[in-house]
Amino acid sequence: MGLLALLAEGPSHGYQLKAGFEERTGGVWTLNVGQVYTTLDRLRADGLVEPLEVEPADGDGRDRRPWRITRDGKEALEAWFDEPAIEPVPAREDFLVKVLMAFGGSPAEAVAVIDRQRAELYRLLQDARRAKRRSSSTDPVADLAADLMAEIVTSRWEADLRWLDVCEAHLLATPRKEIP
Amino acid sequence: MTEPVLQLHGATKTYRHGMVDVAAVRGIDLEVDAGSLTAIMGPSGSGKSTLLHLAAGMVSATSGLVRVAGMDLAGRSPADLAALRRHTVGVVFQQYNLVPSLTALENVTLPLELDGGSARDLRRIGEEALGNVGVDEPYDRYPDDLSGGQQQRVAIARAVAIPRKVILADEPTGALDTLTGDRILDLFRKLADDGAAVVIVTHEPRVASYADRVVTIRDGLRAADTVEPVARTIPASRPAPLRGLEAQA
Repeated sequence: MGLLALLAEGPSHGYQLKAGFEERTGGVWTLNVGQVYTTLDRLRADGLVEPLEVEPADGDGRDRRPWRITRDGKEALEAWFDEPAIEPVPAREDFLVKVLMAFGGSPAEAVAVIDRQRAELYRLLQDARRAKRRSSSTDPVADLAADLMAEIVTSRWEADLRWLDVCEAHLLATPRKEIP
Repeated sequence: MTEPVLQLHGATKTYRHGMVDVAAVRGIDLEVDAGSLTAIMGPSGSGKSTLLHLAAGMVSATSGLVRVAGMDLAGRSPADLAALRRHTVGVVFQQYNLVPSLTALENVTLPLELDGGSARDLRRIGEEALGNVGVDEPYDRYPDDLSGGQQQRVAIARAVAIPRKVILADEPTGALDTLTGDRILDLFRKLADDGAAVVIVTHEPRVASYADRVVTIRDGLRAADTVEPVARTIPASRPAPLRGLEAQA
């Protein structure tokens, strides 16, 4: 749907879509052109995009055929924007499983597990902050996208750290329950 | 190797509650170098605020050493300690401690007035400090007319209005929205990069990202030093002479 959103801003060919997607998402996810065309073919089969007139080949062998969004495509895009995209259950991450399983051991061991996770999260946060201080290009669109993507990543690490605080508080406050 | 600007060795602070002594801080060792930012993390009641009060000379250690900018704080007179806080140690506390009958600007310049200086100079320094922390003009509003976040920023401006060797802050971003908080943390980062020893006590993980080192306090003790200083990359904004110094280090 990201590609559809880009096409809603104006017709583009595959390479432009690849570059546009990467810029607007802060360069965090890379696309290869093959993926772009596979997606375009799928969207075309669904009637959401269509190719414009084929331009004459410009000699470098690249496909410069521009694509545009259809009326159905615009409706599908609107419906997509209208729908919240929140996962109600967190993904089963090794991090979560590890900390929760640590509750089965002694509190001291569990706190040590928490501390190791914490140390790594602090380190990641510091690295991200330093990278942010260093980076700034001349492209405000790319800068904003990179900042916002960095923010979602670091916000989640911060949330993990708060969760670890809660885990630790429970570990140290509650009497141990027998694990069957 | 220069001496750390802030040193605590076996620092202990015990409060008497009825018949029992309760140790808020139990033998903490901590050294903070000039030009660094240390985040002290830990749950409420872990002793991290007491640690800051010890370093600021606001409370005296029951035992152990507290040394700030070469001065051993044990047995110092209140006047000595007040002078230390006026010249050497800038303090930002959770409760903003602004004087209600003084304007924002006067609150910032009050500590400087005690040392003299022309009214024009004081005004210039005060306005610059308030501008740096993003307090909007006019600067002649009274604390009661300011939001909690604005009061917090006035308190920060007061602590950093003149260059101080040590900056101590207790939850300095607690009352601020994220972007304003980031701006304040950028300022603390810059103070550290410019040579101050900055210590921020907080439970906000975000603060840790600005720090060179994160120290976790648990139950009045220092937990395993969570993140040791890592190889510092030199911010592009750092003045050239400092880059040269770092290269030699």
